[in-house]
Amino acid sequence: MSLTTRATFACGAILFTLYAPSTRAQNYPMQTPVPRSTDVPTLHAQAVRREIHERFRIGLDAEARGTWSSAAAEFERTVALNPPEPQGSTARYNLAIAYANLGRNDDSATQLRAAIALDPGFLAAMANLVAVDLRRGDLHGARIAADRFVNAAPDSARALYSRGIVALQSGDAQTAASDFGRLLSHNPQYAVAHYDLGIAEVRLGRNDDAEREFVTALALSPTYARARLSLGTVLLQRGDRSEARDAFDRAARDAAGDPALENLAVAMRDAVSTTR
Amino acid sequence: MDVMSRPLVNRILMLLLLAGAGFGFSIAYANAPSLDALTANAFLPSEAPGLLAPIAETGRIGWACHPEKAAESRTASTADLPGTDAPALSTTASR
Repeated sequence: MSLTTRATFACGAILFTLYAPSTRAQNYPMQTPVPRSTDVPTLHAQAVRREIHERFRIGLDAEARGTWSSAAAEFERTVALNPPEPQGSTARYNLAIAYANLGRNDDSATQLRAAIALDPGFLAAMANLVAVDLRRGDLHGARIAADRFVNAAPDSARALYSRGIVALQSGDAQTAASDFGRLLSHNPQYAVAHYDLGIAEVRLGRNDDAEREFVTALALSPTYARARLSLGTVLLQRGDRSEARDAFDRAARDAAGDPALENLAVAMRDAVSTTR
Repeated sequence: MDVMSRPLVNRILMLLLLAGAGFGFSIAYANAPSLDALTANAFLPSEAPGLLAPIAETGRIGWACHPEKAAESRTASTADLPGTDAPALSTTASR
């Protein structure tokens, strides 16, 4: 055997010795040792963590089933255990949803404010706080929450929509027009925003702009009864009684699933027909 | 005892019926909503947004947290906003 051949075999043997174990057998990490303690505070903390985890699971299942009383009980207990973040703010958020569905809107708003205090960037909690404050009829609180929501997420469609609705309900048509305009800059196909922008324009005395928005909303959603009704009203105010009557008639037909809107459209159609 | 003649009774009844109908018509006319009052109701804002869904124990951070994503989204179609003929989506959304 030549010297070169011997050297080659020797190198091969060395390489095999170095690398063979890792290529022939897969390595498994050592098992993480099970934490064991007889220390009472440690055992108590473990039990609390376990209880929080289980109550979250049961509470979420209850909310998925719509059994709000059970859900509220689970999350009340979870909040009482004072869990760390993100569980603390999340438990309060979920408790607020259960309360809102039980008609306890004041308690719901309190929990949502507590959730935001724990997690100041919690957008979903801000969104729900606006909705709950509107249900409570607290327009001032809703506006504060909506302003915070828009400041935290200036491009959020829901933030702009929420503040626009609050502004319309509280008589601030200028802010409403601005917010729905910004919402439409990213979502020109969203018919509802065109409708609400039209409402803001009416309140600002710009009926021509309003009419354009209602027409756009109807082009995007031809059976949008509320937009048809508003368009008819703008036409009526302009003196186009025949077109207005047709619009009210069509709105009454398209609003078949909404008795209040249907009755309003029928009443307006009949009023136009009888008034000269 | 004098008995009223049948034609006279008929006339009185007719007059009473006409008076009643006129009274009913005037009540109905007075209660009919004016066009101005109806117009005020025509310009109402759309529905307030519904509640976003519950969130799992792991919290709002993460790609799978649908409610936080909906609150953050700049797109109306993924923000759980009201539609043109349906109420706002409620707490039935996934979490």
